[in-house]
This record gives sequence, C-alpha cells and structure tokens, in this order.
Amino acid sequence: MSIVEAFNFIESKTDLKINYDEKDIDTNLRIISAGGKSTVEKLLLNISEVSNLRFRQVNLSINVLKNHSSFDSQLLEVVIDGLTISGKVTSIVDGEGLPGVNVLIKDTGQGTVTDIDGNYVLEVPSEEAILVFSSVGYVKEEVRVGDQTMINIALVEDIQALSEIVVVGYGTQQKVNVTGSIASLKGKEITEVPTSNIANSLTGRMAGVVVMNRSGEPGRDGADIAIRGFGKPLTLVDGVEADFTRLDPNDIENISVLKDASAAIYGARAGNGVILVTTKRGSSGKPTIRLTGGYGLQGSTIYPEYVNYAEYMELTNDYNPGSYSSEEIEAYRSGDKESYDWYDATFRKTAPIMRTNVNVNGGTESTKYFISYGFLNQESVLRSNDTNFKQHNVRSNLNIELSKAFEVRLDMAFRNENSTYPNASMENIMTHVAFANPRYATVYPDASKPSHNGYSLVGPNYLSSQSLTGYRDYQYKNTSVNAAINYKAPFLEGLTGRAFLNYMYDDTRQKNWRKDYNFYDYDAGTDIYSERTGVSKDGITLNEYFWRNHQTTAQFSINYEQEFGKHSVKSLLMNEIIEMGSFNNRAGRQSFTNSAVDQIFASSAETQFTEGSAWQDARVSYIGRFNYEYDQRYLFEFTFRNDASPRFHKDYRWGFFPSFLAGWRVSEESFMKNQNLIQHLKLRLSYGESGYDAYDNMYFNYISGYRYGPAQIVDGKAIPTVETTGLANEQATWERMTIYNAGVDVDFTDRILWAELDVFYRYRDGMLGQRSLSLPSTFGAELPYENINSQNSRGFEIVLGHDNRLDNGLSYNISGNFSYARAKWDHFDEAQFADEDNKERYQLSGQWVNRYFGYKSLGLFTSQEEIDAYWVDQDGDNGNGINHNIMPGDVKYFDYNGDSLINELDKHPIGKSNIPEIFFGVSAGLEWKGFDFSMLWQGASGFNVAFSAEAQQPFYNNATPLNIFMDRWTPENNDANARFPRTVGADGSDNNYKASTFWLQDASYLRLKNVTLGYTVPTSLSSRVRLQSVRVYITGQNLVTFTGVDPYDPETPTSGRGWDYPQQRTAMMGAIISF
Amino acid sequence: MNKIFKITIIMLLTAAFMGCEDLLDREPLDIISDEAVWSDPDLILGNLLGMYDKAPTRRDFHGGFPWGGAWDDGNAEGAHEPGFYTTYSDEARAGYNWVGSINNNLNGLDRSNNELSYWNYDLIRDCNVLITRIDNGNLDDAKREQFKGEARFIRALVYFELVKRYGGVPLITVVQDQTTPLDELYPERNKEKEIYDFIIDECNDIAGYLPDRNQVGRADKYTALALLSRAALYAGSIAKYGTVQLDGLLGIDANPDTYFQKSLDASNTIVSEGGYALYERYDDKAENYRQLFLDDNNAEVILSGHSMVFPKGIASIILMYCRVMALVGGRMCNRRSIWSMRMIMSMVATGL
Repeated sequence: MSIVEAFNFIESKTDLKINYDEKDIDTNLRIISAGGKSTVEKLLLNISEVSNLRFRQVNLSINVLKNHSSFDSQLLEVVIDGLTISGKVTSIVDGEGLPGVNVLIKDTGQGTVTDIDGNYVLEVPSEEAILVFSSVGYVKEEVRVGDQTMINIALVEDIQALSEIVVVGYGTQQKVNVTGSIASLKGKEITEVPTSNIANSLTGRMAGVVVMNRSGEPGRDGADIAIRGFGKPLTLVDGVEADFTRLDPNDIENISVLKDASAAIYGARAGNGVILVTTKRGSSGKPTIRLTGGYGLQGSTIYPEYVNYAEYMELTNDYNPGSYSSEEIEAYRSGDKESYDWYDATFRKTAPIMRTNVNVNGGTESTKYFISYGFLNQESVLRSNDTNFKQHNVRSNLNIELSKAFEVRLDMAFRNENSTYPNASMENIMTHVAFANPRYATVYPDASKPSHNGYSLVGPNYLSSQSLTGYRDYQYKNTSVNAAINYKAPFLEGLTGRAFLNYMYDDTRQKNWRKDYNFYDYDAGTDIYSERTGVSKDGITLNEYFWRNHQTTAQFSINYEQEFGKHSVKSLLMNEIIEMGSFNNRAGRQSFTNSAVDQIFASSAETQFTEGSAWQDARVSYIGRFNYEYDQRYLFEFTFRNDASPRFHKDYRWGFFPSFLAGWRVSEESFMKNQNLIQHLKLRLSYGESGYDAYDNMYFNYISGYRYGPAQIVDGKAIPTVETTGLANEQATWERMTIYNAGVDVDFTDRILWAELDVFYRYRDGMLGQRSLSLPSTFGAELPYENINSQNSRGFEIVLGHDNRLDNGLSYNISGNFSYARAKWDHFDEAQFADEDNKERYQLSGQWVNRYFGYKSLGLFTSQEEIDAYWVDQDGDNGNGINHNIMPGDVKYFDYNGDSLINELDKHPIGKSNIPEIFFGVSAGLEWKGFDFSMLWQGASGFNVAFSAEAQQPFYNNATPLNIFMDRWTPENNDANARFPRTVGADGSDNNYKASTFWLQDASYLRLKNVTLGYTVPTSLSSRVRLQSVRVYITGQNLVTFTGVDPYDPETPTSGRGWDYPQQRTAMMGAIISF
Repeated sequence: MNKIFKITIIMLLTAAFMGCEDLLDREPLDIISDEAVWSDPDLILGNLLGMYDKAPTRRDFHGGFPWGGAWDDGNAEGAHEPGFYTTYSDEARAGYNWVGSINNNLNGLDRSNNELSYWNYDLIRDCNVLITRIDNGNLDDAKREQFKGEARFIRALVYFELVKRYGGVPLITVVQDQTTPLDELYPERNKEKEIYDFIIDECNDIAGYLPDRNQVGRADKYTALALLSRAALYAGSIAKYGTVQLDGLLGIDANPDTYFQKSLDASNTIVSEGGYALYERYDDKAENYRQLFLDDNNAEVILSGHSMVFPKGIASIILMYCRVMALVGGRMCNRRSIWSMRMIMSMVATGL
C-alpha cells in the first residue's frame, strides 16, 4: 500500500480529512499493512517512520507536514479545539461554486480546499482566526471569523494575478518568476473587440507595443506592429513562425510580447522582439459549447470633404480672376444650380460587419479537445459594396494521453480568406474622386449610363463597381498542422521530452478581370447620351496569379525540472529545424473580344503572358535555457541559441546568441514580511543578444552569380539573358542586437496600486549597408552589402494600475501604460563632411534616426512691401530680380545659414518620422452585479505627418480642392498665419510646396479606442433554460478621436495623398451563450 | 507500446541532430553560379545578349515614363508619354501638365536635372568581365572570338556615348576588383583623342573577324564599321573645328582628314560590300521616313533591337516594341538622331 492509498484508506473509514501536498509524498514508498485492525495513530506513525512526514490533527482535519529536521520529534500532534466554519466559495462572475480554493487559517499553514461545488468545512482555533481564501486566477480574500459559523464568499477574478502563467519562449513561467520584460494579454480581453484584424485589437493594451493602422480596407486593414519602436517583430503561433492577425480571437488563449533578453532564445529572428500567440486547448469535463455572434456597422473615422462648385469657382478666381462671374457663383451658392458631392456618391457612411464563432471544449481525463469554427464578413464603405472580405477559421486542438508517460497532441487549423475588390484599385478610385468636378452630375437620369467626373473621363462611383470594370478576387487558404509527442520519463521525475512537428502551407489565387467600359456625356436639354471618346480602353484582360508557400518546423527537446529543498532548477535543450519554400506563377491573356467568359481560354494564345518565381530557405538551431531559483527569491536564467541559415557563407552562417536574466523578489525576503504595504516587489535585470536577418538584400548576398534578366530578341526569337548579381560579400552575416533591460514590478496591498517599470537600451550592430565612396564610379559595380552600420535605441515603459472592490459589490480597475522609444545612428558609413554646416545637417552618425528635413516657415507674406524688404532670395532666379515670382500669400522661409538664398542648405530637421515615439493607453473597467463596462483610451505622440499633392495643394494636377482650402490666404484674409497660402493653378508653386514647417503636422492623437458594455445574466436565470451562461454586449472601436491632423486620419501613411481606404470606426452588438 | 515510442523518439532525435545540416546547403533558386554560367554556351550567350539589352540605345535617352512599364494588369492607364529628347526638340509634348517633360518643352533643358547624362561603367565592367572570362568559357574557338568581338563592340559603343558627352574619360579595359591598387582604381582621365582612337581601333580590329551578317539584333562586321565611321566623323570634326583644352581632355590635336578618310572608307565599305542602302521605297518623303522605322530589317537598318512580346498594334505594349537601336546606317550625320517616340507610337497604333 502506498502512502496515498493509506491516506485514502483512512479517509474512507473515518470522518478524518487528510490534507497533504503531493510534492511531499514519495510515491515509491510502500507501507506494509500489519493486517487486522489498526488505529489511525498506528498507521500514521508507521508512515512517519518510513517517510519523514509528521502529522498535525486539528479537530477532524489532519495536515501532513514534512519533517525537516530530526528535532521535530513530535510526529503526531493533535489539537482539539475551536469552531467549525463552513461555507461556499463562488466566482463573482457567474456565481458558480469554485472548486479547489485554498481556505487557510492565517499564519498557521492549516486549512482545507473547497470541494467540487465550492463548499468547505474547516475547524478554526478561535474567533480571532482569519481565513484566507486563495485560488489561482482570483484575488486573495481575508475574512476574520468573529461570531460567524458560515462564511460564504465570492472571489474576484484577478486579471493580472501574480499566479498567472506567462508564455515565454519555448515554455511557460509563473508570472512571479518572470525575469524578462514581457507584456501579456489574455485572449478573452480581445474577443469582443470589433476589429477584423487582431493587430488592431492590441492597440494600447500592452506597454511598449506600438500599433499603427494604416488602412481600413477590408482584407487589408492590418496594422504595423513595432515593439518599442523597433522593426517588424517575429510572430509565432503555438511555437511556429506564422501570422497571427487573422486568427479567430475566440481561439486565442493568450498573447505574450517578449521585449527584451527574454526574446533572445529566438536568436537571429528575435532582434525586434517576439510575439507569441497560444491557442486554446480542451479541458476535461463535459462539453461546453460556446456560441458567439456579433453584428455591427463600420464607418470612416474621417470623411474628407471637397468643395462645392461655388467654392470651386471662387478658388479658381483666386488665381485666374474673372474666370467665373459672381452671378454664376451665386447661382450655385444659393442652390439654384446643383453641386455634386462625388465623395458622397462613391462612399457611404456605414457598412455592415458580422462575425460568429462556435466552439466546443471538453474531454475526459485522457482526451481533451477544443474545436472551433469562426466566420467573419466585412463589407465596404464603397457604395458599390463591391469590396468584401470573408474569412472562415476552423481549428481543432486535441490532447490524447496514451499512457502515463506519453501524450500526443494533434492540432489542425485551416483558414480561408476571400476578398474581392473592383478591378479599379482604391488608389485609382480615389484619384478619380479627387479629380471629380462638382459641377458634373454624379448620376444621370438613366443610371445605367455611367456618368463621368468632368475631368478624367470616368466616374469613381461607377469605377468602383465590379459589374462595370471587372474585379480582383483573392482566395487565400492557410493550413497548419501540429503534431507533438510529449514524454514524461517514469525513471526520473521532472524529466520530459518532446518531439514537435508543424507543417504549414498557404495558397493564394488572385484573379484580375478587367472589362472594357464606356462613360457617357448627357445633354439634359435634348436628353441625349453620347459615349465619351478618349476613355482608355486597354482591352479586356485576364491575369491569374498563384502563390504557394510552405514551411516545416521540427523541434526536439528535453526538459528537466526539479526542486531540491530551496533550490529549484529548470532546463531545456532543443534542436529546431525550419525549412521553407515558395513559388508563384502568373498567366494572363489580353484582347478578349467580349466579357462573356472570364476564363483564360476565352482569348487567343497570341496575347498571352506568363511569369514566375521561386525561393527556398532553411534554418537550423540549437537552443538551451537554464533557470535557477533559490527560495523563490533569487531568480536566474541563462539562454542561448546557435542559429544557422543558408543565406550566409558556410563559415559565417552560424550565430551564437546568449542571454542572461536575473530577478530578485524583494518581497519574499524576511525583512519584508513584517509590513503590509507592499505585497509583491521584484527587481529585474537582463542582457540579451539576438539578431535580425529579414532583409531582402541579405538574401544570398555571399554568392556572386547571375540572374535571369529580360529576354532579348534576336532573329525574331526571344532568348533569355542573364545579368550579374554584382559583387558578393562572403563575410556577410547576422546583424547583432544587444539589449539591456532593467525593471521593477511592485504590487501594493490588495493591488490598491500596482506598477511595472522598464528601462531599456538596445544596440544594433552589423546592420547591412554599403560603404560609401570607397570605390570610384568607374569601377563599374557597387560594393556589396556589409555588416557595417550601427544604431542604438533607448526608451522606457511604465504601467500603473489600481484594482478595487467595494463592499457593495462594485469592483473596478484602472490602468495606464506609457512607452517611449527613440533610436539614433551610432555609425552610418558615409563620406566625411568637409563643411561643418553640411556635417551638422546631413551626417547621420550620431543623429536621431527619425528626423524629417525641411525649411522653417515664417508664415505668409502679407504685402509686396514685405517681399521687397525681405533680403533673402527665395526663388533663386536672379535674372528677373530677386523674388519676382513671390507674391503676397506665399510662404516666407527662414534663411538658416544667412547666405540670403533659400536652397537645400537651409533645410534642417524640423520634425519626426511617422512612427510614434510615445505610445500610451489608459483602460478602465467596472463590474457590478453582472454588468461590466470597460473603456480604452489610446494615444500616440512624437511623430509627424506631412500630406502631399492633392492633400496639400488645391487644383494639384487639376484635382478638385478639398474644402479645407477655403481657409486660404486671400487679400481679404491677409493673415500671415492663414492655414493655406494663396491659391495657385494646377502647375503649383515652386515656392509654396517645399517640405517645410508650414506643412508638417504634429500627428499626436488621443482616441477612444474601445468601449464595451456587457451584461451577464445571473446563473440562476440562465440555468433555468439550461444555459451555462448568457452574456450580451455592445462595443465600439475608434469612436472618438482628438487630433490636430486634417483632413485625414493621423494613422494614415505620412506624405499620403488621401488615396488610402480610410481607417474605420465600428460599433457592434453581440451575445455569447454557453451551454 | 512504450518501447516503440521510446525507440521512435530516440530515432527522431538522432535523425534531427545528425541529418539536418544538409538543409543549410540550399542555394538560391534564382541565382546561377559563376561556374555554371561560364560552362554553358547558352548562358554565355545569355550574358552577351544581356549586354545588348543594356547597350546605349535611344531607348535609354527617351526619358522617364510616368507610370513605369507598359505591361500592367490593366488597372493603370497605359503610359504614352514622350521622353525628354523629343520634348526638348519640340517634336512632342506631354499630355499631362505635371509630367516633367512639359517643362522641358516650355523651359528647355535644365542642366541640373542631368537628363542627358550617361555614365555606364557598369556595362563596361560587364564587357570586361566577358572579354576576360570567356577565355575559360566552354565555347568553341570561333564563337569565343565572335562573342568577344561583340562585347568589344558594345564597350566601344558605351565609350562613344561617354566621349560625346564628357570628352576624355578614364579608359578602363580590365576587370578591377577591390584589391586593385589605388592608382589603378582612380585613373587619370584619358585624352579625348585617346578615347576616339580606342573606339576606332577596336572597331577596326573586330570588323576584321566578325561575321558579315549576324543574327538580327546582334553586331557584325558592318555594325562595327558603322560605329567606326560615325566615331571617326565626330573625331575629325572635333579635330577640325574644336580647340584643345585642359591638356587634351577636350579637343583633338590631329589631322582631321585622317579621321574623315577613315570614316569615309568605312562607310564606303558598308555601302559597296555590305549590301546596305538608303531606304527609298516611298516617293513621299514623309511616308518614307515613317516607314523607315516600321519596315523590319530594311536595307538601311544596320543594327536594331526588338522586344516583341506582343504583335504590333496593341497599344499598351508599343513601348516595348519601340526599342529600335538607332544605329541607322548611311546618313548618320545628316539625319536628326533624335526621333519622336510619340510619333512612332501613333504610327504603329494606327498603321498596323
């Protein structure tokens, strides 16, 4: 009989309850049963003899304690005393009983755990006793017994619980023991966020994670993620390099962002940080089916407005006086004649978005499953509604325990993305909106005759229709299969092995079908339609594209985890092999004679065209991690990764990337035990080396050879040509990044205030660059890329929070995160500047990376006298007298170098790049009796936008002006600080549209990123209809924005012309039902 | 069952630690190694033809097209903009007022735009590489000499474009590498005369062994003579009318008649032995001039380049068709060497 069996035996025969920690019990020990009758006392003493355990009985509860020294002679201690307390522990969320909650008498180590329904019975020594209720994932509660005999308590879920498990590279760690700078997010925090791309759901939720959404176009509305302002991070889903942004949020268990040395275990890919996404797995129990559905509306965050025709004429008269008479203008102003809004004719205010998910989770002790299906349908704000994105996600994650030693995991995920667009691209449609003259009718009486915009011969509202112009269809399919065998060695406790294989492939099929189309003129007087001549007819064409990528990842690892008294060690050794490849081909035919059949055979092979490409890549890595913890106080971690890639020469392809991390849990020290203010305090330090190799120009930079070039025709036959790839650099190798991080985590009692602070410094060395001017131009070749440049960046992150629960049942939390990061060129290989001014101006070494150059504007000239008095030559054309082209209302520039001439030498850094230096989010949540409310404000600062072309200049290329240009300088509005200079014609002005402070906008913004109001129906009600839980919610994304940026969204690509699909705001309502 | 699993795992681990490094010997799928190129006659030819593709033709000097290539997926409008040369010469103007060429049309040449610049030592290097490495290339002797001669022709053509613009330039006829001594890496400019003499000597030499007729689109004996004739004509004119400056970097101090004689001799050979003649098919001079560019391989065309992806007449690919290398023989000096891209295009579009 084993010890545990003996305990079970005692429990079955008596009312006694035995509490023990499995760790303390040696399962190999056997107790020889004496046979016949025995007493509990004898049996326990018997156990004590062989096992080094001692027992302490309090009323009916026996606690098993480890006998640490031979001086603990009292092997059996019986305390018969106190009161019996019983009660039920429930969850505040759904009122369900919580099993497995520890109920301990404070400062004694005695206690019990709740049963499956959350009930407990406990003997306490006196009324003074304090019961401590604790459970993983819940906020600890303390209750003084007093005169109560029944203590019921509802525990609050602890979102940032210290006992939380955090996913780290190739494993997990308890949050308390984490030594790196890691931000994490639970999947359920983003399941209700109404975005179609998960990248956009992360905005503002994690410190140091900068997310910029550049476009709202369905299917293309992803965001750029930059951890600490670095470049593109490595993203992994369940341990395999993959894009996570199109997963179904309902499938995500959690997201971890590794920001410092904790990423170094990913070696040469990890330099910009790592995002780890873990999907949900099954848990044993009867199946829980969860249905989620949401329906909402999307609309553009900013709706640019163009001038009406009266304003159009007024602006034209600015630069070409007398073009239009005041009567004419008045006729349109008063509404006698109609102006048309082409933007409004092309775009609608809202478009529906819908998503659903159904998943089932359950299993037995040995087999657990999570199966999920999700669907998303996103329509577009184009009135034609011919842009549409549909996505299906299917996932099945299985755990099968074959025996005590072996577990098999088999995960399959399939994703299908279908997007369709009009043949005319967004850019094309927007161009024709910009060129649309408001005098021209957007729709003719006969709407089947497409109307044109008066300038570019086509109309954007019709151009955006598939039935007129044809389509571009994308079908993307991604399949990923994980198979893993986990092995638990029976011969050595704590030793495990794992073999893991992932195969992933994706296909994209794109089909572009371009039709021929006509636009019409309409004569209202005669009611005659006539075809426009001059519409570009390139013929009916079809192009089909096919891409396939595949990737195989294999991981073989050995793990060992053990505690020796106060020492705890963990180690991991792994071999990872990644192999990938890709090819694409493209075929097209032109000159279809009609558009009846959109298939490739429907035109002549005479006009066909094909193209293709292919590549392959691989990676082999040896990985190790060693953790050592002493007494849960001192934490150390060492990791390494030896990475190799075929992209480099044999002798330079291996890179060794180590990291060291250390943590000190100050709050576990004895000197901290006697205070109640600080519950948890940890200091962290880390150093890590990692790399970056995702450059195109790094691709086989070491090989000198030839590539196929364009075919050359000789004797009428096309013969392929080859051209040199240029000089090679055999020594090209990994770029190396070294990151230092220091952090503090602190929780004050009951999380009245909690904080996480991190400071980092990163050094990028061996960035690829070309040496400057080392070879004369007569050499005839460029130097290859070499590992010569370096950058350093620094920054910090602060997270502050406050969680509380009031006696009336209201619980709330508020937290804010703030991050700052900026990078500098440490060394940039460049020519020595002889001229000090030029050096100051152009030398990159030692300068911030995110500088924007331009002139300093002194406002607008307000009079000819002012121009004449200004001694600086702005137009550089002395032949006709200084500044003969400059007129009042033109931009006046500052002559920085004082040479009385405005030229390149007067450009200076006047702004920053389009990636924010400062990024922050503030979130607040409230919960009360089943209602919950949360909101997230997010903002960014330290970046600029400078719109160009149509967004800067009225009549640019004859485009129709935006109505913001009405705020221009005019002789009547003779304001040096007018918003726009005087109106000039289509040719523009050499003077006014230079890069200058006049045009640079501070892109700082603050936006109500998300707001959610939900209600969870009490279990007592939902269980009556046999539902486990019912929740309804309404949520909104990007609802309010405060920014000085005009006329486009502050996240729009900088120097944009407003040709991007606008960023979207969304309102959605939905329900989640589990049964 | 456990045993089977254990064995499987051990085997997998062993396989993993032993066999995977082969993966690292992967090579790029789109790069052909040096060795492969020089051991394959077809690839050596491909290398040579690539230089024809990059050779300085009128195509290089037509200026930029606002929308890039002609073949697209049909979304963008076809690019039909004339280039700089045609707009400078007032033969054409751009249809869009924001295209740079309209300003050329209105304001003339702006030197700072470098639109007429040409500095293609990359191609000279490619020629030097071929001339050097072909000696070890897998080719029969006749072909080797012929290919080498064609590369020398292209190199001479590049030097001709350079010397026309800059006068004397550094004459580099070997493949330099990073370890080349600095005084060779940074050579002095040669004199203008040296460059012209180099072109003439080279053409003279290769005309001695290039075939009488090569494939259409490649240089032969008469192509070399045509270049010789034109270069000598330029050199003679410079010697006769120019002044020697900067110690001979500009200007030629020599008897112009020697050059003129060489030019005349070469041209006479072309006409008398080469079977080339002026194109005189149409009485209407304008029509005749138009057809000169459309009538494939007529007697006046000494060297032309084609890129016939599509049949003529499809508007969007006309640009690709119009890569006629304008080494039109015969009247090399009296014909305007700048011709209108737009004119050609409209003719092709309507005529064929």
